[in-house]
Order: sequence, then C-alpha cells, then structure tokens
Amino acid sequence: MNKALLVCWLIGAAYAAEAREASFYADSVARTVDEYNGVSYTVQLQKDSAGNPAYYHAYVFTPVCEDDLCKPVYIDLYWDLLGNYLRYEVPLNQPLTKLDHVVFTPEEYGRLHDMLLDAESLLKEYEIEELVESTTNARPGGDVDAVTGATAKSLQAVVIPGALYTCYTLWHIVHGRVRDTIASVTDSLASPALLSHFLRSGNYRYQHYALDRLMDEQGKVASEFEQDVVNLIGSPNVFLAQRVLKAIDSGYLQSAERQRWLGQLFIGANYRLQLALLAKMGEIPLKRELKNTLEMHRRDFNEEIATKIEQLLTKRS
Amino acid sequence: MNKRLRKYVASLSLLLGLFHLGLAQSQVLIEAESFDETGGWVVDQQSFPVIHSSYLMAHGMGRPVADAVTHVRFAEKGTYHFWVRTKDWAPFPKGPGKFEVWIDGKPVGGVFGESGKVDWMWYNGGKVTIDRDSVEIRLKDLTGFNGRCDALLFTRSAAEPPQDSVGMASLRKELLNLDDTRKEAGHFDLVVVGGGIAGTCAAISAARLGLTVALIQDRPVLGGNNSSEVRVHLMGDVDKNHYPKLGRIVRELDNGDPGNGNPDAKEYGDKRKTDIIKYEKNISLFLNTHVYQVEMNGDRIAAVIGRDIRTNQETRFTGTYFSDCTGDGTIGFLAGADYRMGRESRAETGESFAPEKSDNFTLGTSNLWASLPVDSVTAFPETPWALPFSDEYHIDETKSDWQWETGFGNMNTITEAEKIRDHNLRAVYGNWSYLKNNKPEKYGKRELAWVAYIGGKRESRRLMGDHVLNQMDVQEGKMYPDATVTATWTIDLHFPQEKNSLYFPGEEFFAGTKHIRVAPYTIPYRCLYSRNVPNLFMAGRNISTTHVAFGSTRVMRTCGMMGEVVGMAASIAHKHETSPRGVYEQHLDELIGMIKD
Repeated sequence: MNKALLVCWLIGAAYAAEAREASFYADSVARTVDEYNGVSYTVQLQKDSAGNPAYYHAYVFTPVCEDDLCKPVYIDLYWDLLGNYLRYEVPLNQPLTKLDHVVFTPEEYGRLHDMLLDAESLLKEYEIEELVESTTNARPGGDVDAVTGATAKSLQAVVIPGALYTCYTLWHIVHGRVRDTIASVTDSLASPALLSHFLRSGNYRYQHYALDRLMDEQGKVASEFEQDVVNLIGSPNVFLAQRVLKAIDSGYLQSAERQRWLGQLFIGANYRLQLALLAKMGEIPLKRELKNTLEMHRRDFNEEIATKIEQLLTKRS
Repeated sequence: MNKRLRKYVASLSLLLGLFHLGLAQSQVLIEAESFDETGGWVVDQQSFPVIHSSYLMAHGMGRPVADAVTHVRFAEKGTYHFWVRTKDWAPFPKGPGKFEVWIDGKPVGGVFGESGKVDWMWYNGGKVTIDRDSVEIRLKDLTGFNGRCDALLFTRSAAEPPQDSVGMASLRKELLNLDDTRKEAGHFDLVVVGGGIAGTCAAISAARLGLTVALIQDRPVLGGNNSSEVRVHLMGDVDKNHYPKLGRIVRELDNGDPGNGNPDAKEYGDKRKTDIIKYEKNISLFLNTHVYQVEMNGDRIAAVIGRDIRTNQETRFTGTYFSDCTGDGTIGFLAGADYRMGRESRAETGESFAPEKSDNFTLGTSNLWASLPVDSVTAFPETPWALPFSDEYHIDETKSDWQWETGFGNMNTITEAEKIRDHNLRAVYGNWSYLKNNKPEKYGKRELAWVAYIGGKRESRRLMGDHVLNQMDVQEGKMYPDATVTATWTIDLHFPQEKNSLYFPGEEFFAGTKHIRVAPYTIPYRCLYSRNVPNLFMAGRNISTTHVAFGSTRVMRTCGMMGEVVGMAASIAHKHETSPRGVYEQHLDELIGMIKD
C-alpha cells in the first residue's frame, strides 16, 4: 500500500499528540473484527517506544454500497485505548470519492473527520435501507402520511453531499463492533502501571476508566494510586474533580498537607467546585490552618459560601 | 422626560409634605428604561409580572455597551441620598454585570451589580450634592455581560426606600403619578393583547371583517417567538387544512424559513409584519405596551391597562371583546379565567402520555444564539460566573438550535422568567468561553453574532375553554362539529436531554424530545374562548388544551390560524351582539361557513 498520506486528521487527545513524536510499533495483540456489512479486518494495538499501549490501528478495505456505483474505500483508522475514534488516513492514490467518482475536497475530508468524531451522530439511528428515503424525508422510519417534526436535525445536514454511503459505512465501522473488541483487549492489559498512567494522562476518558477500576464503593483506592487520585480533585475538568471529591474516602483528606492544599484549591476554584469542596469539608475534621484559610476568605465570595463557611467553622469537630 | 419628572418631583414634595408634617423633602425617581438615550443598553420587560417594571440591561455579549444617558432637572438643590435599584444576576459567587453611575462626569457610589445577591434591591450610593438645576446621569457598563439597572432614586430622607416589589410598585405609582397621567385609547370592538403570530393574525382577521381592533404588543416588534428578537421558525403545516381558507394570513406573515437562531435578523421579517398591520385601517397598533391590569364589569372584562415599557406612560383600552394572545394567559389570569399550568395526571385526563401524578413540569424557554466567522483570531473572556464546561462536556456547536432550553418544572416560566433567561445566558456564555479559549482551531476566528436576551417561551398557563383538547382528540383525529384549525405537528414534549441531566442535574439547559407523530387533526372552536370570562377569546399556546395536546398545538403557524378563527368568531359575535360562547351555541353554521368560504 502506498503510505504517502493524503490526509492525516489528528485530534488533540494525548495519545494522538504523542503519536506524532514517539516511535511506535505494532504489538502482537491483534484481533479480527467482522463488521456488519460483511467486511473483515484486523485491529492491532500499537505501543510506544517504552512498551506502553498507545492506540489501536486498522487498515480497512470496504465497499460502501452494494452495487458498483461507488468506489470502494481504502482507509487507515485509529482509535484510542478505549475505542474512541482518533483520526483516519487515506492513501494518496486511493482518494475518497463521491457520486460519479468525484474526489473529496480538502474541506470534505475535514468534515468526514468531524462526523466520525461525533459518537452520537444522527447516523446512529439509521438502518442502511432507510438512507435514501431519509435524505428526502428528514426522519428515520417515517410513514409516508405521517407529518414529521422538523425540529430534529436532518441527516442531510450531517453527511457529505454525494457521499452518503461512504459516510454511513465509515461511521458504522468506526463506532461499530471494533469498540467492544478494543475494550476487551484493553481490559486484559489494564495493569497497575497502565492505570496509573491513565490517572495522570489528562485524558478524562482514561481517568474515568481508571477510577472505575481502582476506586471501591467506599471511595478507597490501593495506596500506590492514592496521590494520583487525590490530585484529580484539582483537575481543570470540573466534572472529574467533582466525581472524585464526592466519592473519595474522606480519610484521605485529613492530613495537614492535604488540607492546606484543599484550602488553596478552594480559593481559586470554580463556584461549582467550591460548593463541592465545602460539602466535603463538612465530612472531615478540619485542621486549624484550613479553618484559618476559610475564615480569612469567608467574605470574598457570596452569601451562600459565607453561610456554609460559617457552619463549618462553628461545627463541633 | 424632564417635563414629567418636574411634575412628579413637585407633586411628590407636596404629598410628602403633607405626610411629614410640613418637612420639606423630595424624592426624584428615575426609571432607567426612561433614560433619554439608552445607548447600547436594552429595555427588558420580561420580569414585569414580578418586579412591576421594565429595566435596562447591558447586553453586549462580553463587550461593554455604550452609555445610557439622561438629564434630570431638580426642583430643589441640596444634598440627596442616592440609591440604585439593581441586582447581581449571576452570583456564582459574583456576577459580571458590573456598571457605574456617573453624575455630571464623575462616578458615584462605586461599582454596582456585583454584590453576590440575586434579588432586586436598592443599593445605597451615598450622598450626592446637587448644586445645579439639571444634571447629566450616565450608566457606564463595565463588562458587556448583562449588568442591569431598574431605577435611580434621589431622596432627601435618610430612610431606606421600599425593598420589596409591592412597596416599590406603589412608590413608583406615586412618584411617576401613573394614575393621573393615564391616557384613554378609546373603545374597540376587539382588543387583542399579544402581538405574536396568533395575536397578529387575530387582529388582521377581525379588522378585515370590519371590527375596530387594538393590537397591543409588549415589545417594539411583532411576531413574538418568530420575531428577530427570539428567532424561532414557523412550524405546523398550512397545506393540509380541512378548511383551506385558514392559513391565508399566516402565509402573508411568513417570511420564509431561516431555521432557528439564524444570525441574520432580517430573515425573520419584522418589517413585513409591521407593514401588513400598518395597511389595516381598522387596526390601532400599540407597540412597547405591557398590559398588567384589567378592569372587570361583573365577570366580563371592561378594560385593560398597559404601560409603555420605555416611557412608563399608561394607556387604558376598553373593548367589547378581548383576545388573550399573550402566551402566558396574562389577561385571563388577571380576569380570573380558569387556567392550568404544569401537567395533568393520567387519572384526570386518561392520556397515556400524561404522568401518573400531576406536577409543575413545563417545556422550557430558549435563548438562541449564533456565531459567525471573522477575519482574525478574537478573544472572549473567561466566565467563572457561568456554567462550567470542560473537554469532557461542552456543546461543540457554532450556533444554537431549539435544544438550548431551560425551565423544565424546576423554575416557573412566569415568576422565574428572569432566572430562566439568565440560566440560559450562563450556559451560552460559559460554553462559548470554553470553545473560544480551548478550541482555537475551530472557534478562534468566530465571534458571537447574536444572543437572544428575550426568551423564547414555550409553555406557561393554558386558559380553559368549553372544550379541553386532549391526547385522544389529537391522536384519534376526532372531528367535532366546531372543528376549525387543522394542526399537523407531532406531540412534541421536550424534556432535559439525558446527558445534560447527568452533568447538570437540576440545572439542565439542553433538551431532548420524542416526536409522537399525528395525522392532521382539527381544533374545536370551543378551545378558543374562556369558559368563565364571557367576552374573552384566546389564541396561541395558551388555548384550552391539556399539557399533552399542547405539545402539538403550540407551533406558530397553527397558533396563527387560531388567531384567524378568533377574528372571524369575534366578527360574528359582534354582528349578533352575543358572546364567544353564543357563537358556538347559536351561530356555529355561520362561523363554519365563513371558515369554509
């Protein structure tokens, strides 16, 4: 295959960024995926030079419609370690084409990438037989007489004109059975080292994945992960921070050092996290230093925060 | 304004003099919305039912707006206690709506709008010495993020002005001398309150049948949710009508389909709508007039009173018939008409889509927005007071659509309309700030072109008529003898989108829906008049339906056709000197004949 790349759509995910810089090699872990349209391909784990799992890759050759009207597609597809689509590449001599074999424009390659990134695309709701009608009638499974609610976004707005089947086929491959295949491989590789790496990755999907596996119902984690998990409370991703804060065993937040850190975090935190931090502080005996910090900043915010701080300070520990 | 103000100051001095044992005190109340020049500030009347006033708001989408300026003449020189009525609209923990008040070129009283308190209140701006006959007052916006000011007060008394809205309403009445300066608009055969699609169609329909009509709208433009202020497109079909004559006026008003939230205001055809009304010799149009009071004669409405949302001039309208096209059912509510709000229980209505227990759930309100590409990379500030977003959750879109929606029973769409709108703004600005600051490759060269500050409200009160349309009527396509408007929209009941609920439980701002398809069905005339206020029609989303049926009737072409029918029914009622119900009971053939013709 001619590996000269016509397009190479990269997204900002940590592993994709690393993929440009580090050298990677194919691991022996490879699985066959039998796709819905009868196409079979091999998805293979790629590791970085240090031997850590990095991403998955597959070279896929697929027809995109059942007759000979459309040219088949040759494409390299990349997923992260949890089966989320990262990017695609097509060989220079096998460009993607639309109706009447017109080749994709650069903008259309970009649009295809955006479309593939959308795991909740409208394409998900469609069976392939519904495609032709849907582009004229705007909704799937429609009765001819039924009057539809046009507030739903039409499929036409989502796909590339003249490349409906290409879009459909690629989206369903990218978000199809391969995801389960990848998940099962990654599950089997989820070593403490990999999970630790996930916690520090800055990739919220990896971080949630690691938390799902590491934190028990009481919010406890093995000691080797403790600091990494606590650090997530300071994540710029407020949803992740909130999750950890709500779930984590309050025993981890009782040392003077951690409380000092929580106090500093509170002062600069987003309002939503501030409220979550105050709620958590209600569960733990507060050290003098943290109390002083709260007292000092009691009037810096709003009434609600001032009241909550007051309650914390007057609470009998 | 100055003339009126002088008069208020004088009469108030007299009044207070009587009450305060001859102590010479005076108060000067300046309504912000009545400033000579509002600059870049906008007039917002949406909270009138709660705060009894309009206010000015610095809606600059993150860029400070031009000053609002006015000149005030003082009858008495001397030292006054100065107060500013405002709020912190986003106290999370402190909002961005900061502004200053400058008197004769100097800031007075510090920065307002960042108190961390969401309630409308008077804030003390200290003492001000007025040593000239006339002073210039400026509202200086500091952020472009929706700072707001209701009024300014100069008072010789050290006492705090009334903080509650009722006390404030009576102070306003006194100081602005509202009762004594009220104008009479005259008598009309039909007074239509609400200039959305339904009200506009009702007015045109009645006027063309010879009735004298007052059309009263509380915004400067007609069209309501379809105006350039809200930008929702017209939905519901007009080509499947059982009576094809209906829908003709709707077609006249229809300016084409620009979708929802199109950045080009002109697409929504404000001018087309106003022009059509201007050519109707029987219609007197009253824009910028918010109706907040009714006068009853027994159980009939005798008159309604409206207040200009900018000048505060009041006008009284008397009429034979009234049509509530306000959306909120405001006139019916004020007149004591039976109404419902929220969802009926399944036991009550027998509807399969009704919840087991009745509740306060409503569909939400949208503040649509759109961005446009620009030539170079632009910045947008961080918005710590807004809803927080991250790579894990944000809405990756360059413009909004109908899903941007708040107020699913967690907030009252009438009494908490301001909170709902503000929640929408916190979602829009928070998300946009995230996109601009974290996805520069896609959003760096884009700017917000437009954000609605007028909420596109879907649901509030429904006024009850002699028939209450329900799910079975809709799904079974029941054809009653008084069938009028044909409706075609799905039963489209929005709810918070599941993923949005996961990230913002209780603070949802993004909707989902399930469209339950229906075959074209008809709406009985009995849904278009009140069952207990005998001279009250209604058209629009506030007609007599259950919550479930409303999910289908609420779209604007359908609402417009209701207006057309109301205009016809009013003309027949007028001709026979009967009531809306009388038309059903004695002249239904004539009404149906007119619709068929």
